[in-house]
Amino acid sequence: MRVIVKYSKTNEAIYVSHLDVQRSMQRTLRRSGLPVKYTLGFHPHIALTFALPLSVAVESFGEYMEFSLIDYVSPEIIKAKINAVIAPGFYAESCGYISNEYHSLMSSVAMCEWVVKIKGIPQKELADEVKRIKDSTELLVEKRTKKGFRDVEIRKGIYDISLTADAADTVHMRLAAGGKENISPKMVLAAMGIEQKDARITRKDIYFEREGKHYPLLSMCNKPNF
Amino acid sequence: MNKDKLEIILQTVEKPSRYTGGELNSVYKNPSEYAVHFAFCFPDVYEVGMSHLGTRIIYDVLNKRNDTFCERCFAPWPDMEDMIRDSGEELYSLESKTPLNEFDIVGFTLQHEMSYTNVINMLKLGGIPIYSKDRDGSSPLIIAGGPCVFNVEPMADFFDIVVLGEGEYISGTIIEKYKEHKDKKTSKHDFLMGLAMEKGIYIPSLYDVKYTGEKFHNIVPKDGAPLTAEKVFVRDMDASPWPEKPILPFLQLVHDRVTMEIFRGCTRGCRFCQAGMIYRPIREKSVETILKQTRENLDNTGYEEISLTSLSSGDYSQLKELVLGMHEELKDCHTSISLPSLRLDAHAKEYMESLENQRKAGLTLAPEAGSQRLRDVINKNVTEEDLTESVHNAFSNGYSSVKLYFMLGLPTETYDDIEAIARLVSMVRDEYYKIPKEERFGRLRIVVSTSCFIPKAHTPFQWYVQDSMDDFMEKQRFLKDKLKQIKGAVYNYHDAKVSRIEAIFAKGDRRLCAVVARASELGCRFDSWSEHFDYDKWMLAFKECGIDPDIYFQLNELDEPLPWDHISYGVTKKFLQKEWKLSLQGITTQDCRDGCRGCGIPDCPMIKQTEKRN
Ligand code: SF4
Repeated sequence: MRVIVKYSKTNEAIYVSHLDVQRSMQRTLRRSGLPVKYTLGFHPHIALTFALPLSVAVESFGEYMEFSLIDYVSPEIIKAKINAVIAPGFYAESCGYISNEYHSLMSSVAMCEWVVKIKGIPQKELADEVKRIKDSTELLVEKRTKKGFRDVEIRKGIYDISLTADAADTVHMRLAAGGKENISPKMVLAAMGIEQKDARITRKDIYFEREGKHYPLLSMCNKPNF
Repeated sequence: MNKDKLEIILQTVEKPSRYTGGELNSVYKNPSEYAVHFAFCFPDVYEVGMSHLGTRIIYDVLNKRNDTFCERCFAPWPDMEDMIRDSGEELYSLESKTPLNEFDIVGFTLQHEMSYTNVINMLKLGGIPIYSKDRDGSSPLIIAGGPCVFNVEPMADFFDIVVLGEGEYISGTIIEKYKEHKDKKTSKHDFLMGLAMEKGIYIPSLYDVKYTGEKFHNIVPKDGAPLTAEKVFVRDMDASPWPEKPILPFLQLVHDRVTMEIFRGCTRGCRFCQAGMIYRPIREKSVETILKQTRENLDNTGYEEISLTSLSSGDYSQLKELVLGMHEELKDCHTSISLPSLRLDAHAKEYMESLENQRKAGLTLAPEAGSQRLRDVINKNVTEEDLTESVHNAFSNGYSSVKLYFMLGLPTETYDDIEAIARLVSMVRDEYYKIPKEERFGRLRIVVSTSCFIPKAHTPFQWYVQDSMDDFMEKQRFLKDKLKQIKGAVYNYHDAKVSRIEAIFAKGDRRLCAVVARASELGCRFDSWSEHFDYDKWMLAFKECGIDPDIYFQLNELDEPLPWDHISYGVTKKFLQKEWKLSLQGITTQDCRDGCRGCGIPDCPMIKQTEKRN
C-alpha cells in the first residue's frame, strides 16, 4: 500500500541537507512503529523515496515522501504516529494512500510553487522587476555546469510570477520542476539582479501535470477526477 | 549570536547543521530559569564530538538536574571560524546561541593531546581570557575532564578546575558547590580551595612547579591543597546514569549508531595502554541493564545499528548470554550489531554465528607487535595461534578483509620484530588461501596500519624515550618494502611528526602551556587533521617560547619525580616501576581477572569478585 506524506521543513531544520533528511526520515519511520515495508537483502532498509530534493537554507511547506505499509493504517493515525516522533523542524502536514496508476513521486514532478521574501529593495523597484520578467519573452541566466558557465533560457519555465497580494516585498512564483526542465528561484532572482542573501525562499508545494493542468502531489491521494 | 548575522553565515558555511542544534532529543530550557548555565565544549568538529559517548552522558546527567541547563559547543571548522571572526560575534552554544563568555561554567573534554590548540581557539572565539589567572568572577569557570587530564600539566594554566575520573560521578558536587559559592558570594580562590578538598578534583593553580635548570624538579601544593589529587569512579554501572534518549544528529557521524557501553576498565594490563591503566578497575553492566538500555536507545533514535563498546568487548564475562539476549531482542527489527574491539583470542566463532545480522565488513585485529618476544615486552597476551584461529574463523565465516594494527618504536624493538609484522601478514594471507576457492568470500584485502608508539604518563612505559623521527621513518620504509611483496596487503602509517608533538605533550610539564598558547596564536588548530597540522608552526612556537623540545626526550630515572606524580588514578608508581622492569626482561603479567596483581586500586571491587569465585 503506497503512502505519500506531505511535510514541512522549517526553522533550523532548513539547514539539513537532502541526504541527511533521507536518513532522518528513515529513522523517523523506524521510531513511529508503523508497519512499514523494508527492502529485501542483507542490509534491509525502508523503501523510502522523495519527490524532489530541496536546497539547504530553503524553507518548505510542501515536501513529499513515499513509502509502503504492509498493513492498513488510517491516514490520521499515520500522520499522528509520524508527528509524535518526527525530528524538530519537520511536521507531517497530510498524508494518504495513492494508487499504482501513478508513477513514482519523483517522475511525476512538473512544477513547484515558491514565495520569496526580499529584503532591502524598494517596493517600486521590485514591482518593476517582476513586471519586466513577466513581460519578457526570453531570459538568459548564467548557469554553472560541469563544463563551466553556460547561458540558459529560463522564461519558458516561469509559468507565473507576481507580487503577493498581501505583502509587497514577497514574490510568488510557479516554476518548472522535475526531470524535463528545472528552474530554481535562485535563477529567477539572478535574472532580477537580486543577491541570494537578500532573499528568503520558501517552497509552498510541488505539482504534477495532467492534460496541461497542474495539481498538488497530495491530490494523488484522492480518487482521480480530472 | 545575532540572529540575522547567523542566518547569513549559515547560508554560506559548509555543513551548516554543525552549528544549529535542534536535533531530536536535544534539550531546550530557558536559561534564565536555571541557576547554573553550563556549556559542554568538545574541542573538535561536531561529527567527531557527537560520536563521543562521554559527551552524551554528561549532557544527559547535567540536564536531568532541575537546577542546570547544559548546552553543547563544538570547534567551528575553519570556514565557520572565519565567519564568526568577520561577524564580530562570539562562538556560541548550539541550543540557545549564547556566547561562551556568558555561561557560568564552560567544560572541555580532553580526548587527545592534538586537540589542545582547539581548546585555546574556542576560548578565544568565545571571548574568554585563556589563562585562569586572567579570569575574575565575571568570566565563566573553565573545567576540563577526559583521559588527557591525568597529565594535564601542559594545559594546567588554562583551567580553573580539573575533573579526575568519571564526570557523571563528580559533576553533581561541582554544581552544588558552585551554587553555594554564588549564593554566599565567596571569592573564586576560596571556592576553588573548597573544591580542591573533594576527591576527583584537581585545582592546578594551587600547585607550584619547580625546575632545576631545564629539568622538572617537583610540584608542591600550596594553601593546604592535598598532596595528591585522586580520581573518582562509578562503582555500580547498573545504577550509573545512562542517556535513554540520546541526541540523534542530522549529520552523519563518525560513529552513527547506538553505542552501548558494556563495561569500563580493562584487566589485561597492556603496558603501553594508558586507558587500560587509568580506567581501572573493571566494572561491568549486567546483561539485563544492557538489553534494557539497548531497547530504549533504539526506540528513541531509530538507529539501524548498534555497537557494543568497551576497551575489550570479548572479555565481557557474560558475553554468551549477552549475545544471545541481543539476538533475541533484535530479531525482526532490522537492526545489525557490531562488536568493534572483539578480542582475537575470544571464542568468537559460536557467537559470531548467532549474530546472523552482523555486518560482515571486516575483521579488525590489533596484535600491536609482530613478534611474540615484543608482545611479551608490552604484555599483549596474544599468541600467534590466537591470531591464526581468529583469521581462520573470520575467513570461513564470510570475511575477506582484515585490518591489522601495529605500533612501531616499542621499547626494545629491533628490525627482527618489524620483519615479524610482515611474517604475520603472510600468515594471514596463507590462512585465506587455505580456504577452498569456492568457499571464499570476496577478494582478500589486508590493511596493515602502524602508529608511532607514544609513551604515555601513568603507564609502565612512562620511563621510555620515544624513537626519533628518523628512526620511525626508517622503520616505516623497511616495513613498506617488506609488505610490498605480499599480495593483497595495503600499508598505512602515521605521520612521525604528529606523534612527536603528541609525545611531548603526553609526558610534558607546565612550561608547555606557553607553547600551546603561542602555537594557537600562530594559527595551529585541528592538529589531529592532517590537512591542518603544521609541524613547522609548532617548532616555531617552541623556539619563540625558548623551550627546546628535546628536553622532553630525556631519560628519567625510576625514582625521579615526574610532572604528573601528584595526580593519582589508583595504580601506584611502584606497580608501574615493577611492570617496567618486568617488561625489559620480557616477562608478562597475567590478566587480573584470574587474581589480583597488586596494582594498588583502593578497595578494588575486582578483588572481591575474584575472591568470591575462588
Ligand atoms: S587492584 Fe588487583 S584486581 Fe584490582 S585492578 Fe588492580 S590488579 Fe586488578
